[in-house]
Amino acid sequence: MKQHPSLLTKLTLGLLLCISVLIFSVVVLSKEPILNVDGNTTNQQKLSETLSAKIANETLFDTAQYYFNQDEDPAPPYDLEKAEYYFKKAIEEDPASNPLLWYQAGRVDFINGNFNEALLKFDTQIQYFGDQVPNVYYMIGLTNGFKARTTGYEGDWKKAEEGFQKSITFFRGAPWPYVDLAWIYFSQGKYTDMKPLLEEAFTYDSNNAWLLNMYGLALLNTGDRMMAHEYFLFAQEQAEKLTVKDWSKSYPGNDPRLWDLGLQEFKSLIAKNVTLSK
Amino acid sequence: METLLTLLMPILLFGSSLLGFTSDVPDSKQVVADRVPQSVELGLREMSPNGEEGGFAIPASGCSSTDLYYGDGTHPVPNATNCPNNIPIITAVPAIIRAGDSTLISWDPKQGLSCSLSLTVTKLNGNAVVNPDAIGSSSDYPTAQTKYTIRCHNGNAEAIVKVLPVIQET
Repeated sequence: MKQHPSLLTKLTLGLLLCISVLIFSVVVLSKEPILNVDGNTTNQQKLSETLSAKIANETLFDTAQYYFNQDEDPAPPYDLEKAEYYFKKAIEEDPASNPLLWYQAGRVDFINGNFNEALLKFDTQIQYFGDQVPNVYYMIGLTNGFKARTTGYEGDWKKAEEGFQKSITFFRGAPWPYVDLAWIYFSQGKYTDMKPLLEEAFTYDSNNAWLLNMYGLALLNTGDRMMAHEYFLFAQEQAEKLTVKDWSKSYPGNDPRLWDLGLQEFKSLIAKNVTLSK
Repeated sequence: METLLTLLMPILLFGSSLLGFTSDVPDSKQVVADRVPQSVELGLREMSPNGEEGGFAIPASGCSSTDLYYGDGTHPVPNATNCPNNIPIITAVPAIIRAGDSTLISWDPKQGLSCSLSLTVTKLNGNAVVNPDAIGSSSDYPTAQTKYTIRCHNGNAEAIVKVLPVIQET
């Protein structure tokens, strides 16, 4: 004979359903990403922040930028995982919604070391927006350079060179594409190609610590150890003047908690070159 | 009792899923607790293919930021990127010379940014007057380390020249 649930069982189930609905409501609210950033804020403050964000009608892209685009601001919230998540959602929603969307999503992939994914996004960026964000060529150079370090493929080195060469045409006057193209030459042992490139770069910035260090390397590897040592010493002097803020401008997109570490790494690398060239 | 547990199980599972175990939104607190986020750009020391004696290089990524590219967040602003900065430039090439050699001092006040009136270039050719209102250049023969400065409404810039002693042949 089939047993029917008792009244008590029915009441228990009803109560549990009510509790579940209540839990659902609380959890959905607490899952707003902005609420998870600072564990010290009160629930009321968190709710207020959430409402403010909603009032501002932020797009998914804006939210991604909020977590990624730290640049000169060392304050939280830097969160690469959340940035990646919201860039992905923004792409799913509308892949052409913002001229920076694919570019920024690719930068996150680059920082995470996902070079193929990054390059795919940079290509898509160009397909959608052409040269509207010319920085993409710089990032193509950088990403292919890092990729070539792991693959060792000549084709990857070549693509890195081409990316930086193209970005020089857009950003003539900026030292960074020169620094990085010199790094690509250095990595391949093309020391003689470094010198004229860096001498051109010096006409835009003659006291840049990165350029001075690269020029020292070009000299060291082409037999001029004494002058190389002088350039390393000069690079060291200029690097000592750099602040953490200067470093953050040279490596945007990195975690602000690691800015100081990055600057120390750079200084210790130059110190190593000074010692080696004595 | 078994019937009750059977009925409760899906509800409990549903409740636990709502508690975040299946959410794909990453939790910052968990991220911070588990690991410090890293970057491929940190810890890199590119050794010369010639070996350690050939020294170490490090790339930068200063042109990747687009913070200033979109002035109002929507419309592109040409030449407003932080790469290059729209601040005056002054350079000395070469930056390291031997006493008696010349270096070429070049400056660019970045016209169009209303900066020429306050621009000065110091210590050039023994404090000779130079025209600071336009892009220019001049050779100099400093005998000791010298700093050349350009001052402008939109910023200052400097170039240092290091002077090495002449090697005496014995």
